[in-house]
Amino acid sequence: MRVFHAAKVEHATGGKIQLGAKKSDREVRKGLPALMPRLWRYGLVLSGDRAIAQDLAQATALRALERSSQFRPGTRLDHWCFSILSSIWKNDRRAHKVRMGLGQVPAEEAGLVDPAPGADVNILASRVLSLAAQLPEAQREAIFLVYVEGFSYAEAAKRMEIPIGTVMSRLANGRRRLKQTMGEDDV
Amino acid sequence: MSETDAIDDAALVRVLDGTASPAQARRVAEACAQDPALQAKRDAMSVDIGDIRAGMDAVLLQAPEMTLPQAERTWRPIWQAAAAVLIFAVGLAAGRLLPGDGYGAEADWHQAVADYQVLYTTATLTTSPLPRQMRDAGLSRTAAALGLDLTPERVATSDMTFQRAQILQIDGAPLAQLVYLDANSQPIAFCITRRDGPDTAPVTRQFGRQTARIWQQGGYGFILIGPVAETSLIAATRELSEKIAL
Repeated sequence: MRVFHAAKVEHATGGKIQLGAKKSDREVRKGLPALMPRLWRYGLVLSGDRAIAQDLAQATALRALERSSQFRPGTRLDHWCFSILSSIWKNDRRAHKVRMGLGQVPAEEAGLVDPAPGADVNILASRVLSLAAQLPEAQREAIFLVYVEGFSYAEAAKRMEIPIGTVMSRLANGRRRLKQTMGEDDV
Repeated sequence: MSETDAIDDAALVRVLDGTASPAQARRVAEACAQDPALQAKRDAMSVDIGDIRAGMDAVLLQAPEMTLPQAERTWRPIWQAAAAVLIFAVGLAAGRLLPGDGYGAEADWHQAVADYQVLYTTATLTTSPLPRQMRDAGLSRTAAALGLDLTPERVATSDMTFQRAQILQIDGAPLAQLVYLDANSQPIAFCITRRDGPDTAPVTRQFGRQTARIWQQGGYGFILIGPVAETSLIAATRELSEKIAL
């Protein structure tokens, strides 16, 4: 199921993205393409669905281009875009009253693993996505932001709009769940 | 309240993350040594975050091809660069890069590489560094696509640190992109593609702030490019051209 409709955004802008020559515009346009894989990955961690993750990344790119004048030059474009993506995800989920999440479904069954044959990297990816699938979304997002994307505790708290203490709690619980799951995998 | 009671989950996480102050880390270590229950609690949270990070790097390589919306003509020059990034970075990260949009002529493939390279920053390479195993695996796949013998030793240089390799594509032909950081952490790209033509000695070309050393050897075209002075590229050009002599 695809939740995000880039066409709606495109329609709202007359099919074109109007951009000026401001420094903020330039920074967004310059940085956005290289960010797309990371946006997709964040979308995948949140949604657990490759297609939804792609739509999320695309919708985020569109919104970032539309609102590039709101970006403050010199600040973290990735954090700004992550915030947009999270907002789209949460608003859309609220609107659709859909409870997304990976639950206990193995990554392969959830369509998380690239079906292309091959490389060792796919094994690595499959393993970590299966681990992530064992975590509740809140813990998954905290673990991802802090340990994968390198957010500080304070940055993660701001991103998730929760107190730092809650971030620490989610990291602790996430670590416990990961440890338990990794131990079971070893057996 | 005992010393152990005062050590909460947050303190344990900070210690495990290496973000605790020395005093806090020492206090937790001492408390764990005296309290097996606290030690067990800490151990229950002790996971190798490096494994998680490496796995998520692998996920990144599976990112699909994505395109940005069509833009007004006023920002077309930048859009072309953006398109280059999407074509190169997004698509080919998964080995599925789309053909370029008309970069066919000899001069234009150099320009295409320059368009792409201008969008690289130090952070591009340092945000998610690849583990050695994945880095070497990427180099191996890239070498196979080009039919070249590229090993970590052969692509190593004295003044630059090899970061990663990936297979790109231009006009239907594979293009290898090897990325380095120089001693000043500037991103340098070394790109190779099959090109007919006689061997030529390295020459320098300037693409805006990007300086490039370009040469042809054994049916392959080479370009070493980065936002650095020509002198910074000459030694690396010599090393690479000698090591990858065909």
